[in-house]
Amino acid sequence: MRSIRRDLGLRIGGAALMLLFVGGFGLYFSLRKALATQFDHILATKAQALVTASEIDRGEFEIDLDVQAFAGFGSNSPGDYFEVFAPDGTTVERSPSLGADGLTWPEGFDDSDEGFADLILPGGSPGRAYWTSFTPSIDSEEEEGEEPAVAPTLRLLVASDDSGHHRTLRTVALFIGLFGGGSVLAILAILQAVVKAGLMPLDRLSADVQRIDVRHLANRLPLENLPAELRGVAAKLNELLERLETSFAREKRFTSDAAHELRTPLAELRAMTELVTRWPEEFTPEHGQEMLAALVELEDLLDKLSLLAKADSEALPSVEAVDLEASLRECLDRLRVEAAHRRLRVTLSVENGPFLTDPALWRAIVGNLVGNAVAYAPEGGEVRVSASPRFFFVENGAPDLDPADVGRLFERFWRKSAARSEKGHSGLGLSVARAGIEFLGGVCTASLDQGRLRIEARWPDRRAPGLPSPPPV
Amino acid sequence: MRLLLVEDSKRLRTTLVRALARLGHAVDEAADGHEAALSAGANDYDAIVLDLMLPGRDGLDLLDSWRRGGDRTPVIVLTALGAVEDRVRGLALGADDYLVKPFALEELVARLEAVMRRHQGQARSLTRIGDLEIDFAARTVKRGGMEVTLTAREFSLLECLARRPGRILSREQIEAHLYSEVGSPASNAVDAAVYALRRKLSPGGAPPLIHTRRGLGYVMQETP
Repeated sequence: MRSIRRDLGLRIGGAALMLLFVGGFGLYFSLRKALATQFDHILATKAQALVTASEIDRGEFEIDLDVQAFAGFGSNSPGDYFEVFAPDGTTVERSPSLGADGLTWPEGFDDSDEGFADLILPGGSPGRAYWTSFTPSIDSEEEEGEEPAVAPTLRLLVASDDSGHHRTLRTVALFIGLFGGGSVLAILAILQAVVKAGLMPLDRLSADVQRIDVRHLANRLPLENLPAELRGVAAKLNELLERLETSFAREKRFTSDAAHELRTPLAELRAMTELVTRWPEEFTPEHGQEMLAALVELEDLLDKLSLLAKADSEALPSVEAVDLEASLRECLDRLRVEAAHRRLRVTLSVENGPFLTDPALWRAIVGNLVGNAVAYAPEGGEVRVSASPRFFFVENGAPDLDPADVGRLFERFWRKSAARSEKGHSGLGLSVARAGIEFLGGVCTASLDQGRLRIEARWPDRRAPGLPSPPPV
Repeated sequence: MRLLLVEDSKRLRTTLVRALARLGHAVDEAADGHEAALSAGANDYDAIVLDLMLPGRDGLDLLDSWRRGGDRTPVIVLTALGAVEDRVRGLALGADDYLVKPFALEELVARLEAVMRRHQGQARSLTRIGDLEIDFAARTVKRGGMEVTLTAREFSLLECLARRPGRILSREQIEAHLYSEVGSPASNAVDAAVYALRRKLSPGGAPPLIHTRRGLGYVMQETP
């Protein structure tokens, strides 16, 4: 499994290691080059001093001994050498430090007038050499008429032991190596501590998130002390938790409400059945009708629950062409007796047209919305039903409803009164209607204006989205 | 026994009233919280069967107000809310028992018997007064080992007297326990019922166990 801590450690550690490595090598080679340049420069300066101090006096080549000593070629300077060669290669002069054997000619000495090269010194130690061509001055007084003497072009080779210089470089390399190694260890230790401290808020968040489960959905992730990078994530998670908690609570309430609603008609049926089983003389046709009515209510409740389950599912509605006006008239016919009993005036206006829908669901939507209006409109009032293939609304007087109730109308099992005194109204009708409308791709809204409740469904087109086009008229 | 049944489902309420009346209980009914509060305030019930979700006033609220007011009448809570916390809430507010819907009639009756016995300090359902033996749970009566057959109303009268042995009960008190608000009896109904019960409990000239206290009422005890 990937770990941010390990990844960060490896990457930062790797980068630091590489920087140290490159830095160490860079430092070493820069120093080596600087030392070599400085060494060569000293060699060249010494050579220049010798050239300046050399002359041909009465045909004899000589170099001022003081200058020799000053330039480091004295008898007590065993590591520094020079040798002056005539154009034919014979030695003209050599430093006291050289014995009978002269200097080994370094590479390139033959080919160029001036240059630097490494060489092995007479003692066998490594050295550095510089050579140059020069013409010594002549210290003589010409006789009148005598042709001035011409000094020959000589070659000077100076060499010095550079083993000290190599020792310095080895010391520097050792120091860089030791310092680099120590730094790597220190960096790794610091890195671990820094990464650990830096990731602590993430660890805390991770522990908090892991503590969340279905039983603890009310817990929220603490936002204080969280770094800015995590605050957004935690806030979003809290938002999701909030929604999850609401959704779980709704599901729980729905299940409990459904069980509650089923228990009441079941208790009625059981008590009525037990009564007539124990005392058969209690059975009357009215008693039978009541039992049947309880069963019908139970059946109706189960139908609504299964409609809700269908609307909640991911299934597609099975649509077909429906005669809008005929479907509405059929629904009003079913409710005519109840409407007449409550002295309600029900008006219907329809703009007919091709209408594609799921017939069973449509019947349930219309039945629930109009049935609800007929049941709750004040006696003697008016219920208005209006429809077209794109919209449908039911309007009725609702003097008992408060504006605050409108938002709760579609809640499952919500009723204005918490009790079940109004028979046959489970508090599911409007939620079934809305779930059905949304399942068919529409939008369902409720509004309360001057004591009149209007529940409205709208479809963006004459058909639900994703459904086939309506057939040609 | 006189019971108050508070239930908003008309079907369930009517059915339970009929069943309990068949068993000899006098049952008053209330369809909402306000009615229940009025009935409980005006009458002395042996037990109350209380639904929790009621229009007007919540069942738990009613129960709470009764208990705060010092009313210790046994209460059996009927609830469609099966969740543990709902049951616990009812019991914590002073309910004596609860039944989750749907329930068996027999269970309701047995629990009513049990809470009333507990209320009157009798752990067992069997009571003896002299050689009279009453089993309230089985609803059977024996005198000197011989079974005595009683009607539901007679058994209810016996229960009313036998649960308070040695205590004088006025005619009004007995009437209140025997008859519901709707079943108003004839003026001498209590006297007639006591007379009939006394005869049935003294077969073959056995000494009477129900005694008249003139001007006061009736008392049930072994000694006259």
